[in-house]
Amino acid sequence: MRDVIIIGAGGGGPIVAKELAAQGLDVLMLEAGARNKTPETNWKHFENDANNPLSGYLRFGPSDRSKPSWYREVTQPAMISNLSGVGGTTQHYFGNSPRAMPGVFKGYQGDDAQDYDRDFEFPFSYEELTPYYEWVEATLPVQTAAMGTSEQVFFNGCENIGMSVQVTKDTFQDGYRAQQNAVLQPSGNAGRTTNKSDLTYPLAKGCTFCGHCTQGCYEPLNAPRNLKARRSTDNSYVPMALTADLWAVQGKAVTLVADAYVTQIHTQQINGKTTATGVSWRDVNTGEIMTENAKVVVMAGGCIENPRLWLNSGLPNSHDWVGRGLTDHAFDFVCGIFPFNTDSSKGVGSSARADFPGKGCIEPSSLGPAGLASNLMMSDSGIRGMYDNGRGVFGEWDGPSGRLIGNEFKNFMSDVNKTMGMLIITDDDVEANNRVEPSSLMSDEHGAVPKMTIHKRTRSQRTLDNREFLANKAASILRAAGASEVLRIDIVPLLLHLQSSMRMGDDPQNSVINANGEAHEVAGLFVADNSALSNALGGPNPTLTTQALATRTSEKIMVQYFSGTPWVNSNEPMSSIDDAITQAVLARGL
Amino acid sequence: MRKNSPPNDSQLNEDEAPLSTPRRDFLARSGLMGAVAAISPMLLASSKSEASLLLSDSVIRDVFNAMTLDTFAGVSAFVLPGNDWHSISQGHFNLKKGAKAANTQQFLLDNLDNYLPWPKDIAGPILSEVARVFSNAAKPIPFGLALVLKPLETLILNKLDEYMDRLIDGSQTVPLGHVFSLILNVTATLVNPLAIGGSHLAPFSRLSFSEKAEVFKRLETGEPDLSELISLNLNEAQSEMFPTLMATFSRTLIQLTAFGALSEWHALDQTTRELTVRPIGWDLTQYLPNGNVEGWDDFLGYYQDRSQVDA
Ligand SMILES: Cc1cc2nc3c(=O)[nH]c(=O)nc-3n(C[C@H](O)[C@H](O)[C@H](O)COP(=O)(O)OP(=O)(O)OC[C@H]3O[C@@H](n4cnc5c(N)ncnc54)[C@H](O)[C@@H]3O)c2cc1C
Repeated sequence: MRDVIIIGAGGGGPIVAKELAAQGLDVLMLEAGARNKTPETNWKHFENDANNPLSGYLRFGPSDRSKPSWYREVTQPAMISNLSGVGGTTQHYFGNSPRAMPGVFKGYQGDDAQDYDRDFEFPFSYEELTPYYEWVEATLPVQTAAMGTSEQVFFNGCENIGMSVQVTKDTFQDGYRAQQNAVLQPSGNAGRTTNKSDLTYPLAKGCTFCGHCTQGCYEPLNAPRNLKARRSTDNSYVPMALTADLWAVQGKAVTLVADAYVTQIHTQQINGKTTATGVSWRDVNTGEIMTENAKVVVMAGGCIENPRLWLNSGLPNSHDWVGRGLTDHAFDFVCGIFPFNTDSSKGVGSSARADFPGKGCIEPSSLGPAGLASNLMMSDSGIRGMYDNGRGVFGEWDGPSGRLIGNEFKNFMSDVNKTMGMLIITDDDVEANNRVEPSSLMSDEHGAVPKMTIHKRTRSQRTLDNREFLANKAASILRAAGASEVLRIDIVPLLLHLQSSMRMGDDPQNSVINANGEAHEVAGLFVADNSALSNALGGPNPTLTTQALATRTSEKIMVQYFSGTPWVNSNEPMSSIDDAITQAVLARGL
Repeated sequence: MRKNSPPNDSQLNEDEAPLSTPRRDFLARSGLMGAVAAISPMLLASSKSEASLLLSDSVIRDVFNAMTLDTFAGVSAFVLPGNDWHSISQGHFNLKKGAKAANTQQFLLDNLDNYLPWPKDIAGPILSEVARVFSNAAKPIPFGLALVLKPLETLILNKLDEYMDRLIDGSQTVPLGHVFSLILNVTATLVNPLAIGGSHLAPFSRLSFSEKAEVFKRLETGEPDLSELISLNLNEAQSEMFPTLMATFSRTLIQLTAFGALSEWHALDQTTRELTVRPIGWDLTQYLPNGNVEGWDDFLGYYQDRSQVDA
């Protein structure tokens, strides 16, 4: 019997794994997808090879690429962009690590308190989470992003519309700034040359500006796994978890099993309470079913799979809130074309941002041509000039919203380095009818597949207004930065950021887990990924907050189930790039 | 069961058993009859028994593949036109290479057939329902071809029908490329009934640029009469899903086309995963002018020299 079993090795799971392994617990982490042990030889800087959602090496599917991806039913057009594999969706995330808006936490007293989704706030204060932010920021580590050409263009735009610069991590007013990124910043030759032989570690350290975050980070070449530039969990927390015995005083290395799809959480009635006792998983390659027991089970399969697993396991759901309240930041995409170089296919996925408390955020994004084209095509407003699908919205951009097609599209794409795409990341409301449930129509070898209902046009008025505000703001910034043409795509739900489908709250009537991260209705069952978040955080990219919360949840598990004491306020965090970790990683051959 | 020995009478009768009207109309309307003649021209001079042999499983599969590829070539030309015949014939082209030159039609076929799992318990009823709804207004195949193929019409339609049955029932998932192409072609003939005959194999590819947009409009917006008809025969869950499937289908197709066309796909050796030529999409977008790099010399320092911030 294990101390703890963690389901899912994505943005959240490895945080709990590393923290509890460092405390000496016996931890088993199960991951449905592949373990990419040698990205430097297996991954490439090719967009289709990596990111084709059906067949790429980064997709939500089995590690065997000749097999189809795993299906999800959507009740409305949407594009799901999460991944399986050790590192989960962080394998192609941008590493943007802003803290949440303080306004979404309990007890917030700012003048703008009513601008947020007050009905679904976090059940504790922002100040309480701050030490956990600091701990994670030091561990990953999170650093202020360097500037490249595209950031300079974006900053010019922000300056020209009179915005103020934000010089803190905490966000209390509108402002623009360099991102706080979970990316090692360039040193040595990194960012200063295109010459391959000068870009190997240790000649180059940190981000080489290659422009391929979305294809998975393996730069700089020859760097030990924990010194790869982008701090996806496969490069940061997972190496720490797998070597905890080598660097933590009483640490015990985590057991990681990939290609292991958990299909059942087992429970028993203990002391009159439904209590988690273990899990069964299916070996994705052989079909074999395995079972292990544990004192504590942690769900970290992400916002889509957690509700599926919960409900397929027949766990209690008295208030019908499992899978509900899903937030997705109601993304949009606004894109400009410039008469000068923006170099937008270079550098980190995003290194700059603008935040608008109570409304959301905007960030420029660096993409290759296929990724950019794909975003440009995702419109809910039909084809510009041909049909508008009942939308075709006007604003600060040129003409109606919609996708380009034919020669117009080809002309727009004629120089990818003269474009700049801006992601609109809306502070969206928790709404019960945005949800994940098991499909009644389809199942696969892991049970009924998840069915997702993501409303776009019928979100709360606040959500819709916020999205419009941000789209207009993005268009203004692009124009002030010198764009000669600005398009608004009005995309269908693009599910990069998913939050709150197993939300944390005090009230079991509208939440699944309590303020400690433990299920209201199942003892010993915790949730520690994006689905645990209480709300959409006010718009900031979610992973850092998930990781801070998962750190806090790890302490709660240790105290409540293993008679431990909290450590975040009393210890110094070990950075994942500390030499002790590098030595441990090399010693273990990771 | 089909064998390679000449068919006897009872088999022929079986081949000629009349199809249910909706399925038959759907198949006729999809342009597949014409495609059969184009792929297997010997058919035009064949007797029924010879024709039955000629129309082997592999020929029928080739027909579906050829039809699907031609349909997707029409989609490629629509999304990212170039100087190819599919672009020129839609009346919207340019002097550079386009998606078709990047073999995007094959990219779509490979991905949709092999990787997008559409379980048959969904695809089956939906496809039958699409067949029923789309075939309401029956249309003739082109006069000349109709005359020549008339004696074989039932035989051919039955062969196509059997293949469709196998598509739906044969495996766990349905090859979506074929399904997508059927839907596009039948919608194409609703948009322009003359598309049933013409220069390309697929009715969709015979449409003008604006007619192609009309096809996508119908699928994306869901014609009111279409959804009303649908709700008559699908169960609640299926009819709820149908408009979303059609809208998702059309958006996915357009999105995948743009993505595939501008990616490295056509230029990548799938075994070595190295480029064999410079990708067309990279040229069109001036991406990576000197090929792939491990890094760029784009570091400009820190904004306002701030390389770290406090809480
Ligand atoms: C292109 C892109 C860019 C992004 N950029 C950023 C960014 O810059 N900043 C940011 O904060 N966020 C970003 N995100 C979002 C970020 O990736 C997610 O917030 C984060 O990965 C969520 O972590 P998670 O643990 O909830 O889910 P995931 O990371 O998706 O991990 C869940 C894991 O659990 C596994 N799993 C699921 N079910 C089971 C099961 N039953 N059994 C076993 N394993 C299972 C999955 O295979 C997966 O590996 C980005 C996302 C995308 C797509």
